[in-house]
Amino acid sequence: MVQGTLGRGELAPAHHVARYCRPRDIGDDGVLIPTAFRLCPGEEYLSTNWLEHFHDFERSAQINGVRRALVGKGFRISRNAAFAVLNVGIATVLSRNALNVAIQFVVLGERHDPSHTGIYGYAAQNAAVAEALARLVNPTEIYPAA
Amino acid sequence: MTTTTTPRPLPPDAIAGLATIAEVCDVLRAWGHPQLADRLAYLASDADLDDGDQPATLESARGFLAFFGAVESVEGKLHLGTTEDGTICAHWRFPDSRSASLYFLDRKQVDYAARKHDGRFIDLDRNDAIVNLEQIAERLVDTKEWFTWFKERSAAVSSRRHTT
Repeated sequence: MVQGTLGRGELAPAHHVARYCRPRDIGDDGVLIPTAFRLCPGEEYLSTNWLEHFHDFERSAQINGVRRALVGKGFRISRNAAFAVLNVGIATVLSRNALNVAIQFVVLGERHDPSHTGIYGYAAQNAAVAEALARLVNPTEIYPAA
Repeated sequence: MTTTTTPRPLPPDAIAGLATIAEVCDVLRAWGHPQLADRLAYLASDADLDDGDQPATLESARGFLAFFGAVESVEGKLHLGTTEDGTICAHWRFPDSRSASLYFLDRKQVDYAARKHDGRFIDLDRNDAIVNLEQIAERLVDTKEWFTWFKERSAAVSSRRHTT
């Protein structure tokens, strides 16, 4: 089991993930648009990166770690993109209470990117969960991706 | 003094006749929303596209124009984005916990998520098999949480109701 995870690779509630947000997911005044958390047709989970994998608490080190991980696997980071940070426990509870949807943050166990984490469980309620997650992101927890 | 000759809402056949997103942007400007037009033009361009992303599609822009022309929101602030496949998302945020997002799949079909004052999400489908953009707009307005009809349509509806 990976430190910080529960059974089956699920992240513990106190941990955090960062979601890569395309420039088009960010409004003119920095508002996060729910498209950032919407699954594409056929996607089983939403890709994120587990922050505490890189450092216990220092956010800049965590975000730098995500950048390195994405670049390391050939991902092109857009100049105006951003990382939005979510707390696992709050997101899980909110989606259960507001939508009766049980989402799970599961570390995917990839050798070349051990931080890669999928948010599972919300394909059928796609738009509502995306809306809830976007609203949950604290504006101070949106970081330039490049 | 200048007056607009572009009716709002735009009739469906006029929306169907818009041949480019630039023409949709022209309508938004004529309605007094130049910043929205600029944002839509950006979303329809190749600027800032990630690998695999598509620019905003014309059909989606037509759907957005149909909805935006029909309603107004005093408190909600509108933000536009696109999904990877070029579907336009119109996202209204309010000062309280309300929000509404509409994904214009094409000129008539829409996916949505709307959250009320109490933080609960509303189900507008009401178990209907197919719900189109017009029905969703009516149900959003009827709920009286996010939108009212744009005033000209409001007057028309009111007028119709008085005559029946």
